[in-house]
Amino acid sequence: MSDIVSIIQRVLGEVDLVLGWTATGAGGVAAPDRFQTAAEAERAVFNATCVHNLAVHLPRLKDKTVGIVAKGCDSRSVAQLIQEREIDRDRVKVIGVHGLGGMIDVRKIWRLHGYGVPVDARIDSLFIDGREVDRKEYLRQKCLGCRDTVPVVHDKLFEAQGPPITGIAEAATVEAILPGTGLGASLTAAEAMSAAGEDESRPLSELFANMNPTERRLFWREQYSRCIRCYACREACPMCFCRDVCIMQTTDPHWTGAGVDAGEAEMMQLIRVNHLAGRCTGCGECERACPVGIPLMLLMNEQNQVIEDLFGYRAGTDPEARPPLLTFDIKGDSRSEK
Amino acid sequence: MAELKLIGFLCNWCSYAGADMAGTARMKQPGELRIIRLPCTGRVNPLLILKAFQQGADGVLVSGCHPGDCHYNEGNYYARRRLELLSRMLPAFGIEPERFHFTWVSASEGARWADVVTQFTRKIEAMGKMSGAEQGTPPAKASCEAGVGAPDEQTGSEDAVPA
Amino acid sequence: MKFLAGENIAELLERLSSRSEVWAPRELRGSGGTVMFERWRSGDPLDLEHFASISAKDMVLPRTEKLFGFSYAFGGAAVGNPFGTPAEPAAGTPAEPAAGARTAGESIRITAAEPAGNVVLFGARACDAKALDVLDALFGQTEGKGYNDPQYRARRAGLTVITLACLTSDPACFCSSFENGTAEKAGSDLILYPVDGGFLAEAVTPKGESIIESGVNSRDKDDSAREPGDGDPETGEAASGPTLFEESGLEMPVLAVTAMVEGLEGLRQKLAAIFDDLEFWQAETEKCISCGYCTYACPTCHCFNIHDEMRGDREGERLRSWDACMFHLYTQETSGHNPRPTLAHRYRNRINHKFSYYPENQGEILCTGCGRCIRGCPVGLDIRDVLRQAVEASAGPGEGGDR
Repeated sequence: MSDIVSIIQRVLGEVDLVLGWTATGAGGVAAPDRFQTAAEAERAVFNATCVHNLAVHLPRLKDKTVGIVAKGCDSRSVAQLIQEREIDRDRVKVIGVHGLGGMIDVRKIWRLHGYGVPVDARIDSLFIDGREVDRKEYLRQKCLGCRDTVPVVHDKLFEAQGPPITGIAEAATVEAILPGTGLGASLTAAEAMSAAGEDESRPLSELFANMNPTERRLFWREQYSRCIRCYACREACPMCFCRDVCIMQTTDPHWTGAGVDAGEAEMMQLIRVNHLAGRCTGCGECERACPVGIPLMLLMNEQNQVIEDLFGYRAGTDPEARPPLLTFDIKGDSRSEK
Repeated sequence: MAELKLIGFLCNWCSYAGADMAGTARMKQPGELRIIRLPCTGRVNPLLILKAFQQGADGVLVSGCHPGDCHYNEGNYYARRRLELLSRMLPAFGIEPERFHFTWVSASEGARWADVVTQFTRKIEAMGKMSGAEQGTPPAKASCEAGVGAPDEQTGSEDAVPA
Repeated sequence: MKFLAGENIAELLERLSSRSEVWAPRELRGSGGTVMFERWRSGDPLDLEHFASISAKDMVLPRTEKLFGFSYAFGGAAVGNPFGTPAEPAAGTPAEPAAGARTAGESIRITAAEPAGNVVLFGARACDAKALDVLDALFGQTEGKGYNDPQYRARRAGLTVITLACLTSDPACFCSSFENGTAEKAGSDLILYPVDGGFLAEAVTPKGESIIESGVNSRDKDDSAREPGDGDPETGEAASGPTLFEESGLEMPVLAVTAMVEGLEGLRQKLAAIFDDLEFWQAETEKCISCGYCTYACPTCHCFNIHDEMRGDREGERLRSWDACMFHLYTQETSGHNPRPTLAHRYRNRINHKFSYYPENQGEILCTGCGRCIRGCPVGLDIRDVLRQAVEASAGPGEGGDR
């Protein structure tokens, strides 16, 4: 077992800078940082609040050789960026983090215990304000079903030695939590949602799965109505590297209007979902960055699943793979013909 | 019932010609479908379909050359993958997948075109207009209730003055 | 000081909502605990504990507002005055027909925006209310004196602010760095100080006084025998209508003191000294991902963009929407040139606008220390660190510390 500081310092011998994390004043929660010298790297940390996907910075650093600390999920973004020729494999040194036990949802801690409460989020235990709590209660939703514990691409491995991620939490069924409510077509989206409000432990994804299209339409309208159009979803996404020339903001073509309302916000997200088809690695940064908590991963996860079902493909798992929507299979694709 | 809004994206080389043939042969078909001609189904950006739904379409039909007959050799093969993905995603967006139909009609299949349009129109008629898209919009902020994004609810007074 | 029992809040909002729109903080469904100011309707829950993620500035500067609608028409109609105030819509100032006419015989019809109604903002904090005061310095200027924004002024005039005083703060709060901190009264009409069982109410303006007045006088006056905190919210139904504000001898609670940023005096000169130190600004913005959250959540950031949103090619609306200086497109020019090409340039402008340009031009610091930009930043950027480091860096080379 080696510590993250010495690994970064070793990698610094081969690259211009290393992307990693340092602790912040907000209760010791980690924030992204970059290190250029061994002395700077002394402040590096790795703990269960290092949730950010640092791959988002790689396309901006093409003129440098870069080291990056990447969790399994982050490494898929790196692999996808390599696949899309957005970054050069030879100019990136990946410090893959192996053996994590799931990351902590800091927002949930802040909501329940107050912003900035001291947090000691180790790989295998969690202390909030000095008291140990059950870390399973605070794990990020996306970590519960993690399939990416081993980094896809890596040059160095950092052994985090956390608890095994499988079996951390069994996703509870709707019936188990609200027996006999029969959530479904007969309920309106609003009713389904207020049922959700009564039990925070139930993932929103289960409620969503039980809604019919009309209820979902209402659900999304309600969710999108609080969008402020800050574009944090786009800016936090490692695969949204068009950045400043995004068609969400062009007037010709005019895909979205200038107004800030549910309809325009919906169009924005439809654009994102479409442009990330077969490219989204499911890192969840869009949802994490959203300051008004729009559950964007409901759409992204759904699409990733459909693509896996249709084409047996998961983005960012093989830098050499051919993207499914850039090819076709004359015979194989005809099974769905109408 | 208010008139249905049905949009058809047709490739120039097969389906548009097929529709033309159905028309010149005076085959009977419903008139709700508004056809937009595109060079190829490979040109059909899935966003065109979503934007159509978002702007109030009740159904969208895409039709192109049969596989193997694409004027550009492989445009419809790409379209087939994209649109299959889209149709499976529609429920997540809150759109009944039955409101979207993707098919092949060649230039010589006027009768088939009339059949496709009739069946599609009947199906959407049975489903009715897409509800919730407009009503579902929560009340706008205090000051922007003047109808931004709700074109049909313009309530501002007309203040034109004589020259 | 008057006392308002906690369980009478809903009744107060009920009464207010009969005359105005009421906006209050509420946790939103399916949002992972996001609290925002939302239109309050009878029976809606309130969240007075958590801090709203987005400030209340859209009470006066909506995310999107229609300035006016327009359409092209044939016939004798000519152009209305697009800049007429909402109160006096297009009062006949005929513009030159050539200005908008497309073809002979065609003219533009202008549709005025809806006039703003009365709004009560409930549950703002001192920093939110002070921010309105700060914005007034620019947008509230009266006609003929520089900037004229009738839509802002109409909204502001119709707005009543009921502020909730802060007895606690969190580590992101830093309003105590500025003049009055949590005790700031500017921008508020009525301030509620939390005490046992309810709130002490202090009217700051005549608008605030009238709320207390109506709460004392309306409905059943004889009910004043009730003791403060004597809560029976169920029986105090609309039919009997409890007296909401009662005399009280309760002591004022102690307000919170937040974290402070030291060395802000003379900040303008200090920022000027490091204006050209792009390396400094680059180092500060390394982790920034250039989203617009900090500016959109900020109660004082007020930059906007104006678009003509066409519907077909015959009619449309002129919209004013929020814009953010952290966006690349904010300063993008038609030629392709961008005077603030990098994040460093843009962030430098953000800080300077807040702590240098606006104070110089309008006499107010464009920050009230609400801490939203710190709490919600997706990458944990802290504006206080930037200010501290700016102060250090301006002290001269060698003392700038490790950056």
